[in-house]
Amino acid sequence: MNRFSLHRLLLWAVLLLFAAWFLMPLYVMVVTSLKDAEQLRAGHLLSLPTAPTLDAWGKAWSSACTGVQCEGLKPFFWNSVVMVVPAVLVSTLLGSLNGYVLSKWKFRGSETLFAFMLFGVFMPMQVVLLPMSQVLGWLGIASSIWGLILVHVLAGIPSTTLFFRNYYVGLPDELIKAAMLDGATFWQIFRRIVLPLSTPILVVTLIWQFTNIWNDFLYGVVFSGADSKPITVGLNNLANTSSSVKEYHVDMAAALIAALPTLFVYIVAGKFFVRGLTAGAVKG
Amino acid sequence: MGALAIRDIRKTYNQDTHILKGINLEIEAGEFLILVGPSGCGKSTLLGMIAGLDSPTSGSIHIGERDVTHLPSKDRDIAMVFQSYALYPNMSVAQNIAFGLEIRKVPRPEREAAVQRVAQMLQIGHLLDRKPGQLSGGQRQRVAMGRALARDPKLFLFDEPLSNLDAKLRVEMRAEIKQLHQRTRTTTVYVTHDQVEAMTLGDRIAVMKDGLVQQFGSPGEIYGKPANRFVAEFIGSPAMNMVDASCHGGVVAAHGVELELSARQQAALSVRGDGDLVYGLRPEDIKLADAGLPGELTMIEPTGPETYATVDTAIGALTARIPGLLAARVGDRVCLRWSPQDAHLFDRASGDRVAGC
Repeated sequence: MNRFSLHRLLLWAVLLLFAAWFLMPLYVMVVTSLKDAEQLRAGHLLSLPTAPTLDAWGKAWSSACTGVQCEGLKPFFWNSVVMVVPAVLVSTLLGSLNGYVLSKWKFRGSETLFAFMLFGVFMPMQVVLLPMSQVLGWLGIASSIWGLILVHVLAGIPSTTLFFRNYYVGLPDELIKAAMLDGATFWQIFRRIVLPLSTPILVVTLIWQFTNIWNDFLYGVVFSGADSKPITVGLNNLANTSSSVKEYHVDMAAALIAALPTLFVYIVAGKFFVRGLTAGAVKG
Repeated sequence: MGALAIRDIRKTYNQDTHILKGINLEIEAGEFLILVGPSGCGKSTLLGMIAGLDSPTSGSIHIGERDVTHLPSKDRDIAMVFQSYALYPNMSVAQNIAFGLEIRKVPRPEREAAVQRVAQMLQIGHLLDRKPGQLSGGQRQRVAMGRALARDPKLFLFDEPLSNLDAKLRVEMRAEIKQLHQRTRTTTVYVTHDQVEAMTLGDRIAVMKDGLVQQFGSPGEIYGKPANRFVAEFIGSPAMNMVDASCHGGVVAAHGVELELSARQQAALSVRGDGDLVYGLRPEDIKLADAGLPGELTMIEPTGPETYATVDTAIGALTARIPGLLAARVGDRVCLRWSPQDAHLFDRASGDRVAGC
């Protein structure tokens, strides 16, 4: 019994140590963002704020300079929201449809098509920058939110297709056959039977796509115009705009603002995420 | 014209893999057709074609007056019970049963009436609000049948519906399917690999092997006059005893022992001439007697109502099926008797039954 509790103690100590190690940067960010400029100059990185204030958060949100304009992260934040919501929804829906066809309505060459789509999952994003900007130019949506949405939908389809296809392979084919005999059409089977059974993989895909698109910097910086820059670009500009004094507390608050939505999504849907990832392994 | 007619159905993959090699079957309205055979014989493929889930390379399928060979499943007026039941996990039992009607835009009151009728018939009224995940195997089986019954189809298809149930439940559900068919008289096609299901349920049985129908007939014909060696060995448990024999000048002998023949068999063999034969005997046709073919008891398997006795004789090991319990021990010397007209004669090379006997 004694040895057992000693083991326990050791285990807890190690785990806590690791947790502290990984949480340290977050701690520094949070306390720094709550300090005022004066305490910042004192230079004690780990000390708690003596007079906690949300001034830095306010400034980062609405008045910090990002280059020449000084409106904080607010416009960038809303750009990101307007871009992320349709891009996530459309890419998830298309992925689910693709997965349904590639697993339950196989046709000659569908496996080859799927193999080609897998290229899209592993292809480095940099490869498509030039051709994509050309395509966006032809379509007349270069440097706009619409262009960014299209890019993110296209870039997301391979992985969303992969997720849904692998999940639907686990759905028994006899379900589809039974529905066909019941008279259901392609779309009725999708809407009435396949989609209602997709909750776990839907949540996984939504989180995955939200995180990827919200955190994307490369497409955001390359394909956006002056008034369609997403928050990652805004954060970068804010941190790189030099003034006489480096305002670390504002930078930290801005970084936290940029990270909060993904954090929020993980907390709300996180337990579905883990459940969804293992749903294929232990079905039933 | 019958309720279901299958004409020269062939299925070929990649030009040289022949799954079905010309199937011809026809049944009347209300009949219960069994497709039985070992796995890989093509019976499930054939059922899939009747259901419209697979299409033949050539040939045609008629349901009633209609040629349905190229019709989609939903227009064939059929319902199917799958091996895995294939209940929709996201819907309640009542929704599962009503789904086909809902898709066909049957008004709600009629749908509800159909659900009630089916629920009463199958005694699943108390389960209507449950999800399939909350049901036992037997209950799922009933719901799957209910879903098929709700639409009142012209043709019922069953794809090995009992193979996922335990032995006791299987016997119960088998009886229930039989009762249901006696009540509704819906034409039914039933696929199984279990010869007991085939014999107990079928009005007509098609025994299949390697993409061909080996024999098509009533259970009595299949059991009493198997068309070839495969059918003879496949149907019946314990299997028919098969003894290699040969015919010379009207005398049939195996391992030097002359085997008695009936007058009809003698006549048939005289037409056919000399050659190698297989002499088949069902275990229940062999009796222990005071005189006859001597042998030594090597195994006794009591099942309760009857006992299977394996006897080593000069013509090989023979299994006899003795009513009740056997008061003998392994190693005892016994004699075997049978009536020659009970024997089945097959050509050794082709396996076919010798014509005329």
